[in-house]
Amino acid sequence: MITERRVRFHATTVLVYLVLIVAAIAMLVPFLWMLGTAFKSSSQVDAIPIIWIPWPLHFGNFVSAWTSVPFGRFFVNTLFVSVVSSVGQIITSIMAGYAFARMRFRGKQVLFLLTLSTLMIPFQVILIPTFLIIKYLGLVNSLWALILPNLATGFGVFLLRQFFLQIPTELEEAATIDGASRWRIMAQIMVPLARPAVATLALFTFLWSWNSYLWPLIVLSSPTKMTIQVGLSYFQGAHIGEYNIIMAGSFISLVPIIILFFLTQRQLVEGIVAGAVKG
Amino acid sequence: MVHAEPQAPSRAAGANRVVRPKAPRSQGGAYVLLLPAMVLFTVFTFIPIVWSIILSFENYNIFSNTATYVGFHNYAALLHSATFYQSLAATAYYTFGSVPITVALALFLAVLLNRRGLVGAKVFQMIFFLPYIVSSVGASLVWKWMFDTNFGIINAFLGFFGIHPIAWLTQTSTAMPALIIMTIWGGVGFAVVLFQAGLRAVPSELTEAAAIDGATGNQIFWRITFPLLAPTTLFVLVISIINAAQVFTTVQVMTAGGPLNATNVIVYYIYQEAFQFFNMGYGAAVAIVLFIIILALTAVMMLGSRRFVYYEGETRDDH
Repeated sequence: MITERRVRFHATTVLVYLVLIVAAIAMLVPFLWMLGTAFKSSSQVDAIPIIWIPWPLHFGNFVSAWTSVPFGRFFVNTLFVSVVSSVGQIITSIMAGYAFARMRFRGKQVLFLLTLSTLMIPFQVILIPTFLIIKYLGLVNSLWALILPNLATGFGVFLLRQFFLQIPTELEEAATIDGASRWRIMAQIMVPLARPAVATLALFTFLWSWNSYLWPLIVLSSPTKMTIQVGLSYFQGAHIGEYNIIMAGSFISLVPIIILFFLTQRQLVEGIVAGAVKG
Repeated sequence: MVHAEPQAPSRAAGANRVVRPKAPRSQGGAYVLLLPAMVLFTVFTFIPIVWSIILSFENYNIFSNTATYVGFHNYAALLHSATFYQSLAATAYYTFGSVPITVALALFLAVLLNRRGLVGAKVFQMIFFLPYIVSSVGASLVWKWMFDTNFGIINAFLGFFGIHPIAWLTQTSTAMPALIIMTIWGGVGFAVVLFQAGLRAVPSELTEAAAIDGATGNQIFWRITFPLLAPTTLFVLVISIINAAQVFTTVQVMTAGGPLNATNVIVYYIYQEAFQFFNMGYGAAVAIVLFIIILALTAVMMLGSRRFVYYEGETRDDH
């Protein structure tokens, strides 16, 4: 009886691992296929039957990809956009988040509802007027077109507000008794305490800047201004059908994000679970 | 009556404390603190949404920046446009083709990962999550190459089973399924992460008690775990549907809306009309329709949830 149970238990365990391993392989195949292709020579790409693992490895594709378009420039542009957007968002979110969490003022509910309502409006819906505003501001084909609309988000304000609400008031009360002003309390007590929320916000803003495509595609036109996703799209347009070079370029575009993923995956997962989802 | 306290997430440990602002009167400094965010929201969200509505009643010339009021003309035009209906159908096909499979698969994988004593759960979770992080132009290019008719890995794999090469992205019947497959790959990990968190919050006292009473694994899952997981499932569904309804990158890179508009989803249609044909007013009208659809879907799901979703601490009195 017991042994029969045990056998059944083992059988299920084996089955569970089997299913998980098959799923994991399915998830990884695109990455392996990308890498495999990136190391092929042009004749190997179109070989039938398919060459699964190219040998010798053909490193030239990475050189061709890197030199055919200004990938370095794309990286620098993307980094600039994500850093400035993150810093801006951190500042505006700390300020507004603190006011919503700790201060009392007229119209608080209305303003907070307005902040939440920004989360309900998909960017795709306001794409056209946003473009017209950027055009009026003379920022078409400028990196500021990507930064400005992203300097404050409902997501950031909400995240920081929630975080400040969790901090016990005793700290501030003690500081008030000691004669600290509200501004000092905010800058010297609350902001340092909010570091985890700030890190989450920075991480997600970076990811968003890195992966965003539709908006940069619309506002950027010259290669020297492009961010990585538009740049990659522009790059593949110059190499139609040359999949070994395209895969090398795709790989180049994925490296930084994969590194970031391995460094921050715990925080990423926690951020997503905490509702840190930017649609 | 067992009082089941769900495991609170660790970072919310101090959250139960009631926190109230102390000062009784309005604090002027608050407005200063709110000013930057509110100005930015106004310029980049509130003005655009109002302008979107206004634009949808206009013909807007992007070169001269002049607008002429045309009443409901744009809406009438889209109601008579076969491409518009095609894009609605394509979006529905994409959304309802990808979301249910993604969510079901993710729930299944999360339950497997949640098994006690499973070695390497973290590693599996990481592998499942990785595609979600990279799914943009690069990943779409990889999948475009995987679906290549002659040299793609997918047809090579199917070849082992004697299946002839399929022209995945270049025939109307298979282009959308191809996009859906790629989307499932990119979205499962995100849902797995959320389901895992949801599963951790299911009190183990309940499932253990049921097991002692002789319930089978299947019974425990469907009678206890699944109902308690309903809020998570609803959240995942709503987010996934909203995201799917706004797909653009994958479509633009892999099929450019083709062949013959088979994958011309609504956001791609807006992009084409507004930024390739410069029909700003018409594009705005389509965008407003998209907005209404998304709001309606969300509302329906939220209302439906009152009936079907059990929230912790709630008592049921339906008969």
